[in-house]
Amino acid sequence: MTKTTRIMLGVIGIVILASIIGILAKSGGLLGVSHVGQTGSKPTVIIGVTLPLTGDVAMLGQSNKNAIELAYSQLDKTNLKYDYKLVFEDDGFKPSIGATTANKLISVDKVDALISFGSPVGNVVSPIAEAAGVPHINDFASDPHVATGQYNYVDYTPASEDAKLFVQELQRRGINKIVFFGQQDNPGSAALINAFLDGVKLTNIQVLSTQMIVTGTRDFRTEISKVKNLGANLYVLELSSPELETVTKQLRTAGVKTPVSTMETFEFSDQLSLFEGMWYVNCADAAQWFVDLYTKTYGTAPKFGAANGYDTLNMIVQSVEKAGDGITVPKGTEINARIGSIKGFDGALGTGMSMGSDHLVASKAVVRMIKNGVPVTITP
Amino acid sequence: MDIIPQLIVNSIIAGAIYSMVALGFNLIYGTTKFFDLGYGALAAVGGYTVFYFYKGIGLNLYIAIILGILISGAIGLLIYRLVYAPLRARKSSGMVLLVAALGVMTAVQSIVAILFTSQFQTLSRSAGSEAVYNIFGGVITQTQLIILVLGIVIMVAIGLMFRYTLFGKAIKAVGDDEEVSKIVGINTVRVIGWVFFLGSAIAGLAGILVGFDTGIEPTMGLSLLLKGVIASIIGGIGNVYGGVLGAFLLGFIENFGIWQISGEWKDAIAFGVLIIFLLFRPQGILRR
Repeated sequence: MTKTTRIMLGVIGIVILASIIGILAKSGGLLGVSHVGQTGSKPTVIIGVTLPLTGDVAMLGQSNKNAIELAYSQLDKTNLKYDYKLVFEDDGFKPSIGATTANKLISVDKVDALISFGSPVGNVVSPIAEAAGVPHINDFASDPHVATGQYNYVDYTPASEDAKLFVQELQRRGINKIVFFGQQDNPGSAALINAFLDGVKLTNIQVLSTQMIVTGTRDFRTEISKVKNLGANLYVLELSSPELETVTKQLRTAGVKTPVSTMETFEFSDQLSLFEGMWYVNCADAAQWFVDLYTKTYGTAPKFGAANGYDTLNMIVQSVEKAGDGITVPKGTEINARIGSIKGFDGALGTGMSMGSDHLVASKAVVRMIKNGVPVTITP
Repeated sequence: MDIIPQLIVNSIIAGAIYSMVALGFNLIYGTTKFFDLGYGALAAVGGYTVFYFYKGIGLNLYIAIILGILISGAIGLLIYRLVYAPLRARKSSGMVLLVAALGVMTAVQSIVAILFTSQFQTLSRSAGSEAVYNIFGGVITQTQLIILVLGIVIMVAIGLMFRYTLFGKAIKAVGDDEEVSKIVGINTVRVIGWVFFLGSAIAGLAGILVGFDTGIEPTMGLSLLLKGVIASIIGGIGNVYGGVLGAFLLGFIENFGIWQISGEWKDAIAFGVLIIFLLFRPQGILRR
């Protein structure tokens, strides 16, 4: 066999291999892409979802995906004007990947609406959706900036609601000296801390120190040494996993016995026993019927934020159905106008919910506690 | 001022971890003059090997640790034989080797993530129940003490190897001049192979110890490698003792540097020191 023949065979082999990979990728067998839905005689509306299916918060992303698929499975498909197709992309809770998945969903899959998960990814998806004129709802963002622009919305308990309840709970418990640990590069963490600082101004609660750390840091011993002797009666951890667990363990190792609390972050962890007996503020509870339905379907209870995913899909479908004539798929502007005017929406987070002029679906925060390794709501 | 003993302890712990990484890195760099980025990924290999054998299938801890060290070393050797040795034999440029090393690091990290997911994991079975010691007002855990002791033991062992063994002298000879070493009869391929095995085994051990101290994740090696490299450059690149000196100096600078400012500046301080050394003393504190 001559050298030229070998090169030719090599090139042909590469082309065949690339084709196979392309076909597999298109069918969702590779690259963490999955498709749900079928196309029939009706026009098809494609809804793209970018969320973390791998990485440290994969359990929350998977629960959110399950809830979206549950909502999809319950659509009254015969009476809807459109067929719906879901395209899921895994962003690993990383903004850089989120930007890629959002661009791919918009430019390759040609989605008619987008759902994203969490503040870090939501903040990069928002400008992309805005530029493309694709309505976008984030179902897990504390940071209200995700809802900036005409096409972006958030269906999650706002940071201001969490902070308001947190301040009330601190006052009720007589806690007045706190130390914050925040994540400098996590906009959700920053939004919660800023909302708290706004809400605490007219109270006697003192923030003794705010230690901002960078995602990926694993050694917090010096930060802990700096705050250990300040006399705080509560450490507030606005950190995602695994920084959350690492700081907690290093606090205990350093001999700090002071209780820890949080707005929103404890349930990011799969090691809830670390926070046994600790109270915290969390996003709105799901309705019991949703918890039962989810548990019956998947054999496990939904994680926090799953109900938001369920509602978000239904909000988009409802908006598309209202915006369209059933002959052609409505334009982004038309769907967007309907999302912006959602009123009296009944869903897994309660009844009569509305989209605010700030593009936020406001839901109330709750106080929870870890009891026997399980989150339990103690104050509705 | 009661914070100072703890800051000193924290600095020593950080220095011990960095020194272990710098030791292996300097061993490889000093011998081959090659910036082995792939070295960092072997820390994750060590950590995840123990995770699999110890937490996954319940093997005895010490056997799992030995397996973790040996497998890291073996993979390092394999990478050298399959990737770096052929490139070096072809007299490939430093840039080609660097790109190849970057590819190796990315590939190893990806394989680890595919096998074990990219979720952060801990190696210890009973979190929070570790023995804690108080040294002059500073708190140190059993794992951190072990890291410190092992860092010193490895440094002394490598020093003794260089001084008293033929193999150590062969490594120094290859590091001084590979061509002349060949002429005088040293099997340089074999020596460099062993250096990769030893250096990678040290990286694996560092990954295991960090795994017990904080935890493991597929990308853990990159941050460890960067700190090890900074330590090596500060102390004197290619100088084993210089690497250790640089590691402890870096540990102290980082931890005392964030005493009065926010912890988010820690990396900025480390890289700032690196730039200062590159500008004003690129050979490091100790020359090779």
